[in-house]
Amino acid sequence: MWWKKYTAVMKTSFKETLAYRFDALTASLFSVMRIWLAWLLWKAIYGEKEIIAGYTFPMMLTYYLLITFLSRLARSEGIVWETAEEVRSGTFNKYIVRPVSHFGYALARSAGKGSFSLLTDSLAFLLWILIFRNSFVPPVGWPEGLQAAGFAALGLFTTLQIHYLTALISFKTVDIAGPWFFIKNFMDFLTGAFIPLVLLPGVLQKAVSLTPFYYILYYPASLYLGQETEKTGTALAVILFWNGVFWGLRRLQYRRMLRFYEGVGV
Amino acid sequence: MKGTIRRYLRLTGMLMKMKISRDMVYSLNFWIAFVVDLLLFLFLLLSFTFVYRYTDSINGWTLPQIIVFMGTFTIVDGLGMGTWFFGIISLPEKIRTGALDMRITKPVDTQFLVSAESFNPGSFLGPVAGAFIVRYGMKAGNFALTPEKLAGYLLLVLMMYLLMYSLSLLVMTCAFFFVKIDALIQAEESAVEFAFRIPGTAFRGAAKFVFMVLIPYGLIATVPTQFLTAGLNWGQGAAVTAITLFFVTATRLFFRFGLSRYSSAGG
Repeated sequence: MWWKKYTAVMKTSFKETLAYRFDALTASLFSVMRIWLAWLLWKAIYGEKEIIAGYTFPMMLTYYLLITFLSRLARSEGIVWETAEEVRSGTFNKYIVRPVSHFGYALARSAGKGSFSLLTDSLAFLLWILIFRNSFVPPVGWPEGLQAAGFAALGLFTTLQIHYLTALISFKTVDIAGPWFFIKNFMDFLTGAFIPLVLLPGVLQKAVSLTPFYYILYYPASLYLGQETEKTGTALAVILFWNGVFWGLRRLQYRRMLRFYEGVGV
Repeated sequence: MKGTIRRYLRLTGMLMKMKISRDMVYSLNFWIAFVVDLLLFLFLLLSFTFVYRYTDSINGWTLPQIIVFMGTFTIVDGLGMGTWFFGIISLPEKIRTGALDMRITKPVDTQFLVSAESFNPGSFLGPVAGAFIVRYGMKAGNFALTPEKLAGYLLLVLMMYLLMYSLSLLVMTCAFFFVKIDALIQAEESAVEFAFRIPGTAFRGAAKFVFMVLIPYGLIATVPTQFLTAGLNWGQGAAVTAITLFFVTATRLFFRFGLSRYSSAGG
């Protein structure tokens, strides 16, 4: 049962987050604040307008609700800081000498933390939907809702792979903060966390649709809202292609980076 | 008083010199901090440019005003990141581990030492870039820049720098009373993020009271921008001064109170 060790990591990570449940719950409530602020900004932008780029005001708010919710579930960011710290202190040795895949560990850890976020955030977001039900739009249809959920899961895995590749940089540099924020800023813009990608000029939008970022947050949200511009088959092919690339790159980089690792810390 | 100011200025200079020589070892970090800030600005500018394809103004503010707004935030944020940010962000950790003990025993003001001990020279390039951005926004919007306006703007930037410092330290000081304040820090980060992304003019009603008075992150880049591009009346100026003074004083008192409760090693 090779997966048992990973389910154990998942359970431990869940319990670890549970130990700080007040903290996690407050964080969930504060993430709802982001939607409120999006509400304020977009209310001012919409003014008297009914529709912007095919989005009504409730659709725009639902978009921000969905991407905030998905961003909160992607709890793989922690692996960047943890790996950097372990490499710096030399405690990364434990993954090398034990029969455990470090990526598997990262995946289980993110899944454990993400499951807890799923519980607390669902509560917080449900509360928001109840209070602002006039500004919430249900999925355009159940098939689209399910497809959106599928793409969201793929998006979470893609995010983990990108975070993991970022974490591997810590074998080469002492301070991971710079490279991390560099990548994070790129991701925030290209995934549609700043503004829905439909607002981008056509050529730019087409260019972004060739990258994996397009399918991490924006595509699942636009599927849900019935505003998708790419066919699901094409979207699936693009995101699977990129995941394949990241998979190969990750394995190659991991082996390469271990050669730099001296195991004594900095 | 004069002697104290001179002493603290000398101390600031020494701390700065030490940090610069330490950072020179990792010269790449120096540039990365700058590039990261500039990249964020670029993406926000692009986002607003794309949004303005669908609207002429956001509650009366045009795109050039938004550019001045973002440039102003880049200046205030860069000054903060360069001086106090990295010092006070680690305050909860220092309290939790007892590392604050060493700072308390030093013959200088603890709040000063904690705030000024981690200069980040790379961040000082941010305000330089911010100044260029403001200049670009002013030109794009055909806003006149007189010496009086410039002086008033710089004074307001200084006030907003102090306000931002006070608000951040107020949150970090909570670590004297609670073991874990991650959620509060996260909320503070979100507030800063939104102070950068949402112009204060977008706030209406209760939100205006919350973000302009109660937790006035909405003032930080909005007030100097409003002064430079549209003007502030005396009433608004007095209100902003009162709010800044209140938070600077409250933070000082709260920090001293927190310090009096500090019981070392595990806080």
